[in-house]
Amino acid sequence: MRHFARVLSVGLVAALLTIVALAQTPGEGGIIIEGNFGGDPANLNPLLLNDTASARVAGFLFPGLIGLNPDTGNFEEGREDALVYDWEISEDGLTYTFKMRTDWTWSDGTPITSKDYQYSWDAIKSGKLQSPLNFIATDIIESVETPDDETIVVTFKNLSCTALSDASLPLVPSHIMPADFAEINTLEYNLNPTVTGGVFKFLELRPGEQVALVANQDYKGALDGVMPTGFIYKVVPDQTVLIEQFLAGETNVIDGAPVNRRSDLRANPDVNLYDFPGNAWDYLALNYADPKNPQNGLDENGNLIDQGHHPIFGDVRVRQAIALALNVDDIIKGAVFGEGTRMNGTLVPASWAYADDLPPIEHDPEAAIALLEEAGWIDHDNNPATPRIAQGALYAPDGTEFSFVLLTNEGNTRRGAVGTIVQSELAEIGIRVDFQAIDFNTLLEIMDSQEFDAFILGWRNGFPDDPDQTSLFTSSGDVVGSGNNNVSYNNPRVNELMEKARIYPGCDPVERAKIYAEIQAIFQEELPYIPLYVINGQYGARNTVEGFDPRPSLLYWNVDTWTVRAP
Amino acid sequence: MATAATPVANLEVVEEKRTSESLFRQALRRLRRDRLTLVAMFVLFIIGMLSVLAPNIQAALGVSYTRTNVTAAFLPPCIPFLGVGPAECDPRHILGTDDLGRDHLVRLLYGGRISLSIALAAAIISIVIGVGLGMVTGYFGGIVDDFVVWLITTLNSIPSLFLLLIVSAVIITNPNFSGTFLSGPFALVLILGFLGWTGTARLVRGETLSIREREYILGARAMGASSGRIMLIHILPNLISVVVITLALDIGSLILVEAGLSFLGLGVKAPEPSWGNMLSQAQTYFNKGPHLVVFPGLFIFLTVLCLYVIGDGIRDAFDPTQKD
Amino acid sequence: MLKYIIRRLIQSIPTLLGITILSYLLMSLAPGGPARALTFGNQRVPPQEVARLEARLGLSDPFIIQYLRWLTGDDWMRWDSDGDGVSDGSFLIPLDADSDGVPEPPGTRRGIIRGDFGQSFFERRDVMRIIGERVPATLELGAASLLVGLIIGLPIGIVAAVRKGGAFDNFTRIMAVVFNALPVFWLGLILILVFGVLLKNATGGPFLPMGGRCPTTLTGCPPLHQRLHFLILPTFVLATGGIAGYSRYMRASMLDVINQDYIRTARSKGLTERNVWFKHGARNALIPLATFLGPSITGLLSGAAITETIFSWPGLGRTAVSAVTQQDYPVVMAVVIIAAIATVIGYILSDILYALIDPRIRFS
Repeated sequence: MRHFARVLSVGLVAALLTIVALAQTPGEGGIIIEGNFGGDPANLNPLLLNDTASARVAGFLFPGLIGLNPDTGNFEEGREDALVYDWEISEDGLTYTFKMRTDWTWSDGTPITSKDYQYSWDAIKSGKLQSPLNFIATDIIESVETPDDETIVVTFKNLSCTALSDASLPLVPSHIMPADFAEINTLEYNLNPTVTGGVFKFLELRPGEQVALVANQDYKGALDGVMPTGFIYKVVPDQTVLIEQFLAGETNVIDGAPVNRRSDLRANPDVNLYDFPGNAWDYLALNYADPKNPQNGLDENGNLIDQGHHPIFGDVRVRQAIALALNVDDIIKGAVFGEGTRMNGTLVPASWAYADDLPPIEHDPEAAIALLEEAGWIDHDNNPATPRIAQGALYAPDGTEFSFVLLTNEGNTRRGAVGTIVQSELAEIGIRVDFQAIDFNTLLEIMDSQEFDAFILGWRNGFPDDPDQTSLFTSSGDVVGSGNNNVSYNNPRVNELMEKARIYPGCDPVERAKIYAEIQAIFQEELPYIPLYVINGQYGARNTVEGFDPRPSLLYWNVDTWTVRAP
Repeated sequence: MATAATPVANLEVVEEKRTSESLFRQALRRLRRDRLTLVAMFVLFIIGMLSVLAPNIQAALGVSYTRTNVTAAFLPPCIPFLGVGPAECDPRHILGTDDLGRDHLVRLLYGGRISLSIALAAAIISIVIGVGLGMVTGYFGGIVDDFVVWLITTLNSIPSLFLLLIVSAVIITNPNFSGTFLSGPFALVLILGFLGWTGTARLVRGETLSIREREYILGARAMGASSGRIMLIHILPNLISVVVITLALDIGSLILVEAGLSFLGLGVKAPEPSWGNMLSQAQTYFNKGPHLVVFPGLFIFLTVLCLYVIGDGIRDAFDPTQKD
Repeated sequence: MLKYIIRRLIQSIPTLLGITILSYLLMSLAPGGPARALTFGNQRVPPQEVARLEARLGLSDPFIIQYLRWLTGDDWMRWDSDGDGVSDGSFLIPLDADSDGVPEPPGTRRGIIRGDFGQSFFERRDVMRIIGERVPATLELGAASLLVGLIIGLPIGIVAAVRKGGAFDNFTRIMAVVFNALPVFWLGLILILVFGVLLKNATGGPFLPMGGRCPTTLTGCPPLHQRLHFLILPTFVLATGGIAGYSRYMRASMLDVINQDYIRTARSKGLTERNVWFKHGARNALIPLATFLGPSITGLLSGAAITETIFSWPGLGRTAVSAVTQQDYPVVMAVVIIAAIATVIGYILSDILYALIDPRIRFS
């Protein structure tokens, strides 16, 4: 009994403490300060924004349209923190009818309605915006109708399993927006968004220093009010200083700390960390087709074109040999200090379609040499230091040296390290790599022209992520001058599977995942890309921050409940 | 200024003494007694020789400045007989290894080849331009002089780093030049060389203006010597001290400029090592491998310091007001 | 005096013109450009469309016309005289540049001589506004560094000259060379690590802020005197060059002066050594330093690019660096031209100052 009383009293104290903690008033929970390496936001108008800093800030300022379940990363009906609470899909799968909440308001008191959505759509459709969203009007959505204030009817041009994501157009306060859409591009509002509707309101932007936001207590998505006082996005242009400021408590949140400093963060007792498989991945691309005569994948009638072969990489055995020769674990160690996860193909491990049972290619230099010999690339002088030469190779005349140009974009230490290691490891099996880091835009032009041997680059998947890679690895994407399938990978079976999965009726993830697993198995044989790694994501917060509870790619999903203690 | 009060007869005697030969010998004599400058020259010579011999040192140590080995990254310096480094370190990596396991010492020496040759070549270009233009404009004057003075004033009015930023952005990142000689370290040499001549030109122009009026030049002209001959034989030798001093100081500051450009992402591109890009890259690793920050910094610092000391030493040695 | 100033101003016109020509020439060689900035995004714009866009923007005009437009604006090149919104007259440039049968709209650019540097490609707003936001920070840091350079540099130079050859003289001379031989960004980083990471203040926070110009709060930036501690590290780093330079020149200038006749006279009149040095020596030795204002300004602006980056200082130098990497040429041009104008003004002020304090110079 006595014992029980003690337990009870301890319990009481705990309960009291909880109450004290809970009793904090909304809007007085302290300031969240995140270091910003990227520079000032260039444009906070969600219709126009095109840089990560702007996306971060605008994410706080504008209401979410369709809710995401933070645990699954999938769209979900009925979420309290999103405007749309329900939707229906037509028989043919092309028309979505969304129902919006009616009690949400912009910060000047005007209700948020479907008119705002209609305005965004009309603006994008007008083609007058300098916006990265323009493709939605040209390629994705056919029409939008808003029969009443709470209903949005979106009709798509084609079936797609990414419809919900595509329909999530940003909302802007249409009642203060100009009637002539062209004027949106140069609005004062774009860097001084006075009327907003998100969890925070805009306070000030001090160029080169910080963007400051304060809690918006009229935000309906936060059931218990918005706890933090505000949010500051503080510009710190030097990476070393960025992390030192976080370690010293000058900032209290960090997103994606430099990989070489993450072990310091882990060793720091005052810091809470959340590591997750990221969505940015690097790869080594080898050209399949003849770089001297680049051609499209398909002719006007949709038939495959014989594009000739890359003298070295046209032979799939050579590609396999290179994949075997690379020690990807070492590359991960060297390029991202171990803060990366090996990929077995071209899908990120965080994706629901990732084929867990497909092991990544083993590092096996011996097998690589054997394959090279078999493919007719021989070490003619028994000197591994000199490049192999062709003797009976499929597409290279006898005597050709095994040497190629490997490109990457300059100014990226990580890819610089990957290239240096690739160069060094391939040298061990008699392959000479001329590794060059060049200007990013130049590299893009060379890639588009398809006149390259090989390059190292990366993709950052969107969020939420869909496993569709039609533009990367099917013949329709093999277009000289613009297509993303610049390695000219053309496999009719993959074309077919990719299309089947893309428009799978009902979009059932389990069934789609099976198709993607089949594709990945083919990729591991034919290697359109040599898969490398995905860079792990990492969020960090000082332990003065309460409520920090991220999910993959969702750092601030519950930011309305955060509080920051004085250190 | 000081000679203004001296009687004319005396002035001639002074001029006689000032012929290049004796002045040069006098300077050498002074230099030989200037210990600080001699030490600086020695240190610089050692750094230069080590860089020149980089391939031999690499071979002798059995290491490589390009081969990566991430399992042996961030090894600390290891000189067992001096007690430097942990107990069982690899003595082949005298200064340890870098973030990718490449030998740090050999990389530094290869970096030295690049940094030193960029700085030297750029300094020579800028001095050739500077001396040439300075001498011609100082000697002839007139419209060419006006134009060059205008050009110098204009170039000097734009803060040098901004000018370098634009020019490197325009040339080095220009897709039209990609893959040509204008995209590598050579472009840097040209940029630094063609932007750095204004100081020298102004100095030389001033000197030439004063030398031009001296009696023996007037004499030579009266005897029908051509302008080219006068400039080459009578004026240029008088400029040797200016040239040598500027060369030393220019190389020093160019090494720093290359480091600054590397910090801003516009210097020599990795994986090609230079002291500047090694240092600016290593600053993010300062706690994993402090030696990666210390040694490139030290090489830059020592080299620049030596060059400045040498520049000063030569200036003192050639200074006629200095007493023996 | 006025005549002298006017003459100096007129003399600076060719220099300013040279600066505009040079920078415009460089920029026209640069990769990327307004047409690419406007056709950004995922869409691939066909080449003929880009060509038309370029014609409309005047990018296919001859170089000299483009330069003139940039320098003086185009509101006098194409105009609408009857106010119906359609251009009806043009000079130097065609009325219908992209040959689509419709006249291009009247010119709206006012040119840089009227303060119109156009729009930033990246932020899509007036370049002058962006510059205006950054100038105060650079002025603050630049002025502080100039001041610190003088306050520390001059006394060092004087004392070193008084005790020529002594320990202090040698020490300061060596330090001057040492600080000049360090890469600026490296020095900045070391200072941040020492004063921000190693040394703590009473509450356990960093001893000095690791960069930034104002405290990170929601209440705006306080007046300068409440945030002087933010200035300490960047000012010191930016001032090292100045300290080294001023001390050496002051030393040389002092030594020059004390060999002059009037100092000998002063001495022979029985003035104390102290009086001789400071009243007569230092004062006259300061005169040649007036010529240093101009070069000081270029030095400070050059240094600012790196110092501002490492210390998160929101000034012009950093703007220039990021604009170069973003290929935002209107901003780059504006920073360069404004920096150059500041330098030219600095040189003019130097000359005027020199003329004012040195009675030997006559305003003729």
